Amino acid sequence: MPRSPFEIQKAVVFALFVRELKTRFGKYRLGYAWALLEPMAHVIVLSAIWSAMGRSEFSGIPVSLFLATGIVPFLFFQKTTTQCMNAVASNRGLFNYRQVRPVDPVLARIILESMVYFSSYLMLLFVAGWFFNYDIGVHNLLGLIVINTLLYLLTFGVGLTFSVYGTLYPEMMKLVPIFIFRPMYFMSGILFPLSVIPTEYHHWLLWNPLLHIVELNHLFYFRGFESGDVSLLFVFLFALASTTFGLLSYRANWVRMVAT
Amino acid sequence: MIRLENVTKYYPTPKGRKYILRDVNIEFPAKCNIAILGRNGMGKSTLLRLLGGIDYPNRGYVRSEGRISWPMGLSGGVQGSMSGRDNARFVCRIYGDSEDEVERKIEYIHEFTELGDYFDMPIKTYSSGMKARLSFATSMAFDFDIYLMDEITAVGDQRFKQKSRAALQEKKDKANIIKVSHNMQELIRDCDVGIYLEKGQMHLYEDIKEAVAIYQREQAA
Repeated sequence: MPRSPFEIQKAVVFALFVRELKTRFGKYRLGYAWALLEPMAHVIVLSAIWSAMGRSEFSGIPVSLFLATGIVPFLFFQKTTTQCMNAVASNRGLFNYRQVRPVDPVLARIILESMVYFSSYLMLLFVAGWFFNYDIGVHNLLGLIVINTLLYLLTFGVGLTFSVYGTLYPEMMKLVPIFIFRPMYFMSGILFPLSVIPTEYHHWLLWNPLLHIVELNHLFYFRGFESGDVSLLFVFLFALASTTFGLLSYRANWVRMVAT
Repeated sequence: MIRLENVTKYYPTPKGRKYILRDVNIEFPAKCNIAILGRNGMGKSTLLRLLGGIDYPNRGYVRSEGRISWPMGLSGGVQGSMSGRDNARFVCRIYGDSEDEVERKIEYIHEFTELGDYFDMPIKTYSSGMKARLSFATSMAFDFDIYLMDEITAVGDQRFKQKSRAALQEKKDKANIIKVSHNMQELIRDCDVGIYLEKGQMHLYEDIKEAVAIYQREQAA
């Protein structure tokens, strides 16, 4: 009985997922703890800087909670799309088996990173609530679920696009971190909210979909958070467009990604 | 059944395209063991990759039915960072085996390869012979209709060679092989028909001895 294409792909993605799990966490001491320690390190360093500058809250929200709820989604996006760029190159030898197609390691990495993201988000909030007695109650849970679903969709679209062009043009792996992620770290509303920037500059910054995602995360999480002109529709359209572009790019180039 | 329809395959080089196959139409005869002959650089390994569905023609189609193995060879085809065990487990999983089945096959593969402790070390620490043994043993754990072999039977010591020949012989009742080799005695022993690959064309000889004779004449010339 031949298996259906879906069954084959499911088996391949699962096998790759197990392999990624081993290499992602097996390499270093502390293994799984890194998933929590990395965002935590960002939060600690940045809240130390803010407190040295005499700032302890943004519109009533404690700085460290503000940082945590913005940095985790941002790091998820950055990490996953970067991993997608070399997903094909670092599994090169496995394309010796005809079932394995270039999209499969990309899917495996996205699924793994999503799980890491979700659990480190929960753990970070747990630490904040349990050990530091912050009020970690969510203002609008449904909104939070919607915006993070859109974040997954955007990550898939951008990740797939990066995997195609990162495989065909490996220079991208050097350029993207410097020219895209570095500036985005400062302009995506994770270090400070959009509201601290004068309104006349907002329309420039609001081209960045990650800024919308982080601001909306804050809006849905905290009651009384002040933001700018952010829009769920913009995030949705951007995510849809990037997914369409990613799928088209893949469709047009997948043979070139594995052919010698 | 394997059929090539108007297949063209080339590599871009600084001096223009290097053609491996040019508008080739051929149906591989069913139920027989096929040898692929040709001088170095004529694209025998590329042809095996096309047949195995892991490389693609620039134009045309490779159509096939039945279960075809991955090309087993001395070079490439394994992920260096994985251990032999993980690699074997990975292969079992992508063929949809249940976890019990996977463990049973792992046992078989471990024993067949005679890799011992190396089975749990990264493949990049293996010699090319060890890699070939792993690839061969893994494929023997599955029932393919066609086995693709790239210069592989000559690996290991005398005893391993005998063992792998016996394993292959057992499979040959139900399965066939397509084989690339420079060892003519071996091809005459193992194969029924020969395909001679030259200047982007494939010539089929119903008798392997005829194909070998052509090859040897070209070598002498």
